[in-house]
Amino acid sequence: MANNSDNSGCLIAAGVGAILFSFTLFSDNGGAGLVVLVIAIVLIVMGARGSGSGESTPPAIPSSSPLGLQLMVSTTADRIENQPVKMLEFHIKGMFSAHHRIARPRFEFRMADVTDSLSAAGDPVLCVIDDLQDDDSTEFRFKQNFPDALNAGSGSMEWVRFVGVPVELLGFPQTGNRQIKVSLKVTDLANGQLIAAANAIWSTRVEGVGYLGMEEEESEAQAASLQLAMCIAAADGNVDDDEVAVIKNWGDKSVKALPEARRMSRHEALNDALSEATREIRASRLFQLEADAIEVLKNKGEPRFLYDAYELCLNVLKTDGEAHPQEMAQLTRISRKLGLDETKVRILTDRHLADVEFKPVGDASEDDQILGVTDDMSKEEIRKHLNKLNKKHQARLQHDNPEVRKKSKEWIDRISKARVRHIG
Amino acid sequence: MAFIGIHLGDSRSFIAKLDDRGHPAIVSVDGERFMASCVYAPKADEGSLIVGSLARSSLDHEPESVVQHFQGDMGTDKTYRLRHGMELNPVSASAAVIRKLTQEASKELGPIHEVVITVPTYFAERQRKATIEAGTQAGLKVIGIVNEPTAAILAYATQKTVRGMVLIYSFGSGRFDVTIAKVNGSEIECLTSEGDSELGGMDFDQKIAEIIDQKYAERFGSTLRDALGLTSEEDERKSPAWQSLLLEAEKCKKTLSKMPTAPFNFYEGPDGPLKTQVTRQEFERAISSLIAQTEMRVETALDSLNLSHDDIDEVLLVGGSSRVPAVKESLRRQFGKEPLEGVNPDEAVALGAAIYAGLQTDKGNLKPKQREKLSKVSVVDVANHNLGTISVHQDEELGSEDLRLSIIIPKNTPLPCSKTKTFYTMYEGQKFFRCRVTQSADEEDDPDFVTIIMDGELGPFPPGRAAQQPIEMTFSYDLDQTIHVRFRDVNSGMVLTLTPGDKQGSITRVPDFRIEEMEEGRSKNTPKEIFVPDIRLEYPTDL
Repeated sequence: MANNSDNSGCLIAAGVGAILFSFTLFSDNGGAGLVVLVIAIVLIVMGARGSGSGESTPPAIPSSSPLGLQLMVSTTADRIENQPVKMLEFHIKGMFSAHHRIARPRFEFRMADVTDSLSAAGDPVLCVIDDLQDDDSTEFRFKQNFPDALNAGSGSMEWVRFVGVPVELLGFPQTGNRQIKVSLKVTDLANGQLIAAANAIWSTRVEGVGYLGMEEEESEAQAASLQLAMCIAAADGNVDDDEVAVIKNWGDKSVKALPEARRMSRHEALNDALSEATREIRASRLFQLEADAIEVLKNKGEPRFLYDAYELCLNVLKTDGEAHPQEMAQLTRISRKLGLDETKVRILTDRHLADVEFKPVGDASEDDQILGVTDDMSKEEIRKHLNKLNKKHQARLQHDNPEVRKKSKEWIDRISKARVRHIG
Repeated sequence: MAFIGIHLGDSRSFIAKLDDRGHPAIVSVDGERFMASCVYAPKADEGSLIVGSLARSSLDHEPESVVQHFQGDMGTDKTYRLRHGMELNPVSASAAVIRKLTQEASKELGPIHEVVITVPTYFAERQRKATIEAGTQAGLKVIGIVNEPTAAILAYATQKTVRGMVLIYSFGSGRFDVTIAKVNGSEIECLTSEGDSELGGMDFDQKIAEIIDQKYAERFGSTLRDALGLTSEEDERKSPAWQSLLLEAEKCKKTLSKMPTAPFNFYEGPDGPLKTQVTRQEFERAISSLIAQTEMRVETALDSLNLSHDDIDEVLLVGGSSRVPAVKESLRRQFGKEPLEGVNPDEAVALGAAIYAGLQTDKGNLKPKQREKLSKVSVVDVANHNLGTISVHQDEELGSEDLRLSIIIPKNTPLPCSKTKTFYTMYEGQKFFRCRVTQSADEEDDPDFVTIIMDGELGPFPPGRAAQQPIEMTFSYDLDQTIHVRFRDVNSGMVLTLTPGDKQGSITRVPDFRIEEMEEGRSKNTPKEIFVPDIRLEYPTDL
């Protein structure tokens, strides 16, 4: 039986070294050592007629049929760069195209959770790797032209390992025991017509939070992020066109990143958030809005949301190419209230504000703002705060770079004057 | 054999000896107890460099031939281009001062070969090295470098009775240092120092000059700076009129230390003579931010040891600027007690340096009385800077790799000291390991703001090694704050030792802003009405 067993193809480590594509023919008596967990095979052979024909329920053809295309899904334990990785593998077998003489068949795999989904198509499984994504969304979609290893027109009577994907790079909609439907369509690249299709069900247990659960969280976090960005934009009394463009762009991108089926609800949620922000700001409730948005973000407890929000704020702040003391104070307040790590904040801030001009301070109250001295601080708090700043800049007076020394001298002068004002 | 200590000051320098009984004494130069740290370069055919008060007196008519206040530039590659085509740098100018001091003293003491030189505590490795270099250029062997406040308390503790926690408040013309030491008789244990090169008595002179500049404007309609066309510090340095204003300002400051008002007559202005006066009140208002700065340094030093003002038993004044009444008043206000008196605040540093020279020399060189006197003296100093290295920090949340500072020997570690810390290679087959040594006065966690004093590469390692190979870094400080570092690849035994000045490159990126500097700041300027346009996201239509 092992007539084609030396047809092993290339092994390609792609992207972050996490994806393996391979074509391995192996015999039915299990020579390649794969552990087959679940097999469900639906096989069809269809005439190459209308393009809509693929959507109708195909007639089941027994897997033993030499003319049918069969799909098998299994998981195996693999090692990539010495790390154990659970791989999801797709195998095919069948003589699907013999009487069509197809020159350029194209294989396309999709996955969807059909456990209790409302829609027949199910909720798609997502994938973090660009090469394995749908063109317009982050849905898992693997496309492969017919491998040379297989003889077009004859197919294979052996199981062919078609592709393997690390399970941890997939995003599942929900957690727990799930039924994942894997579907394969073979189309003719020359005319786009469907030639064959096969489905398999993969029963698996999904750990962690499914993206549908996370999506709710993400939606709320994004809404709050937009509101926070509005607060930054409004800080100078005028939300201008450039700021609007940055905010809109961020919102549009967030919606577009979703699978199509769930774009509408996110779109509405974010627009509601923007309308609310507009109302609140017009009603002079800027601080309340800021505090509420921060509260929402903090409650999510997901660091990614917080840093995304902060980064959006930075992008809004830098639109006019200037950073004013009150803007910087506001930004700092936000980063502190969000509980962000100081170093990460600094890295992000440096990266974004590298070309921004920092406006000098003119009078005492502006000096206080840039130094972070506020009315509600006690004398003792001000004293300690100024000492801390002073120590830092004092140290920099010894720096190799004269520019650093000059800037530190200016800071020290500003700090000393503030001390005279507040402490005497 | 003479034991010589040199106090290389920013405006004035002193030389002291240890007498046969082990007591330190100032040696006069040109009939005076101090010498101006000032160098005048005459025309090539008019002889060699002139150092001291004569050089200083040339400031108001030939400022472009005079160099002064060069100590702040030590360790930099600054060059002073003087009028007659002469060029000096901070080291050669310092060497001229040291040479003049020792030449004069050798008239009384015989040939001098070895000296101890004092430095401000804030001096980092490169500045200390430059100081030693200046001594060497002057034809001397520098047997020790000692911190000025340490020398001052050494002089005080060996001559007077002092016990407990002492704060040494050292305020010179071009530096400010606060040192806290635990003193028990002649046993001195320094605990911390906070130093500053950007604050000194010259800043007081500068403030007086600015008062006069304003008065000039009130009288003649334009400031003196404008009238003289001065737009930069360099212009001011080269302007005879401005230099003579500064000399007058210094006199005025001294008068104000004793009198409530000081007359100020200035004849060099292009619009005519200005006869006016400066009151102590005007002066104190002008220097209030400088005084505030000194208070912050005191608090920082106290904080670093978790001490309060009440824990300080004695305050010792060092340096001429400590004579300014506002300085004394500020200390009285902070500590609630009078500073110690008894040792001349100008001379204490040089006297201590002479004692230190006795401590540094081979005991066999000392006379019996000297040995007896010095046998009870002990000095423990601390590291004045954080010594560390730069390592890569991987952050999984941000997905970034950034450079972080790892402190290996923290500031205030008693000297001598040596510490070893292990770091690891990052990659499989890594060939080299970057070895950087940083020095910083604060616990800066940002590699952009520390000084890289040594930089080298350890390797090449044997090919094909796995990642995570241990590299041991051993950093040590000598008694005189000299640094030694050793990097060792544990598995191959390969070793790299670096000495100060070994540098292959340094980080040059300088972000001009740091967000953490702004604390909670509530915007007070939020306007009541804010313009907000309606914003609607567009539903993606490209599908």
